[in-house]
Amino acid sequence: MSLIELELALAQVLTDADYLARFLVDKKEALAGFELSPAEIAAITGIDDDRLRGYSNLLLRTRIELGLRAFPRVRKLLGPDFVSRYGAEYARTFPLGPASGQSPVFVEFRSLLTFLEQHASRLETEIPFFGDTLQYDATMFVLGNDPDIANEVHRFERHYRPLLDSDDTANVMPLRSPGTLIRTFTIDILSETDRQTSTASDELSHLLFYKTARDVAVRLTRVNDATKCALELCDGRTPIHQIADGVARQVGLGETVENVRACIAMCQALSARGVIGVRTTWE
Amino acid sequence: MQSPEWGRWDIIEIHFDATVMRTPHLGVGLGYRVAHHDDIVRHRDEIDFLEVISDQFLYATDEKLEAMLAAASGLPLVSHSLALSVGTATSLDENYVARNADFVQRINASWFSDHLSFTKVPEIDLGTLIPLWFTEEVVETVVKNIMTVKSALPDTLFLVENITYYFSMAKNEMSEAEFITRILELTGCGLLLDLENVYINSYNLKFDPYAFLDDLPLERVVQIHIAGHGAPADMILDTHDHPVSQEVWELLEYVVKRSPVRSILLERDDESPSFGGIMEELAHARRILAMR
Repeated sequence: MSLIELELALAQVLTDADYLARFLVDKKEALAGFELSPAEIAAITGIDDDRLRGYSNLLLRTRIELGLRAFPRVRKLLGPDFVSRYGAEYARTFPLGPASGQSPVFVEFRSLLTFLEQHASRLETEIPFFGDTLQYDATMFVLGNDPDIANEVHRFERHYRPLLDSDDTANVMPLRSPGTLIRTFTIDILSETDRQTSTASDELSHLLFYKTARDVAVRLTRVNDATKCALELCDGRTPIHQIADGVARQVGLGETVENVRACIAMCQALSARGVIGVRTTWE
Repeated sequence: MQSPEWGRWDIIEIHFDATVMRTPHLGVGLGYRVAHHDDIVRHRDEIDFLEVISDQFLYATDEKLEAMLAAASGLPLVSHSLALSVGTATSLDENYVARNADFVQRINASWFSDHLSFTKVPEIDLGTLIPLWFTEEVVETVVKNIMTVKSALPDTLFLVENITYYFSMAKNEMSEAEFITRILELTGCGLLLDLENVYINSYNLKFDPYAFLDDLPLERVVQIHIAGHGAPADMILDTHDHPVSQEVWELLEYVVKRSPVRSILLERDDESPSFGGIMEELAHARRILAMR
């Protein structure tokens, strides 16, 4: 009754390139560590060598393709040679483990992100802005697929209803949605249709990512310095008139009534889009 | 038991599950994919049911599940999983079975299916379908595991699907068709017959697909999968990214005329297919189903 040993041996043949090489040189020697019956040894040693080699390669390619689903722009930049160039190293660095009780896509996403981060500096020499693009894809994937974030958004929307339309804005304290994240990039990734020929810009782009509980898709907005400043001040404790003051100082304007009204209007727009919520002092 | 004319009778135990016969005829459906969500909503009237890959929802956000259910909007749903690994010679992954059972109940699936393969061993989750060794010992393993699945979902019909494989184990004790038949007889499951897989295996491993079908208990077919692949080379890969081939349409006609098929499901996995083309394929499948 060593069927599980047969399955273990086959799994190792298919997922461990070094073991496969040893197996193909001397099968009986390679199988010595497994407790197999003569029939089971015959079952695995009789498999066609070329098919085993081909399926092992296909498995690795399928595994990496699964992870690359989380990185659509990176995948495009890396091109079809990525698996042949880095696949073996990736498999050695992150060998397949037991079932983890987590989403397989997330498991592969994390491994591949770590691997690509480790190689980012080398890849950056071949692919302009590789690091930025990697962080962009990773952010989008997490915002759109992480149940913890989505649950936070659900709770946020239940508790904090937009109150900015009320006449009494003095007691209003805006706070950012848990699904809101500001990332600063050295280029505007979204506007780049051909990353390979893009050039660096001195201007920073603030891409504001956010999601709402009613929509699976990740949303993103390009924001200016004033909006970025306002969002960073929206902590649920600072009243809106103080946020307006902070924004006015940040962008070098006076604390005029017009500027405060402009800031409130900005917060209203962000609130209407679900980027921020509002709580009041009497909550 | 003895018979004077025929000698000793062999008594075999057959667990015939009447739920197979009571299973509804769902018609012609499409595999739900997030990338096709908007098109599915637009063409909902032309789709009879949706098959949902449970693995894409076992760890999904509530929003993602709600969006899928909204797209289905009353269409019957069936659940299809990829990693029960009924061929693994140890006990099943309890977490995975429980999550699937919850999902099947949550979407009120008409039935639930997975593959005759193994995808994991205790130390390694391979994440893909590995062919089984067609022996009596493996039959016993698969039957035990399927019974565990059925006990987790006693009110939902379970189907097993034939897989695509690019190598086969040596020294099999029986043919694949005999192996599948034994599993169906001993478990009472229905058959999810993937005709694309039959065609690909027949091409890659060089056998007659019609002879293979003739050896199957086609009366147990509940659902059929059809799909397409790229241009054949030395090997055909099961990619689900092209229109259904003429060879598979012909296999479908062959089976429909010989089996009480309850549903046909088109699998299409590429992200931006021509959805008009997909609807034409569903209409073609519907015409074939009407030949029954």
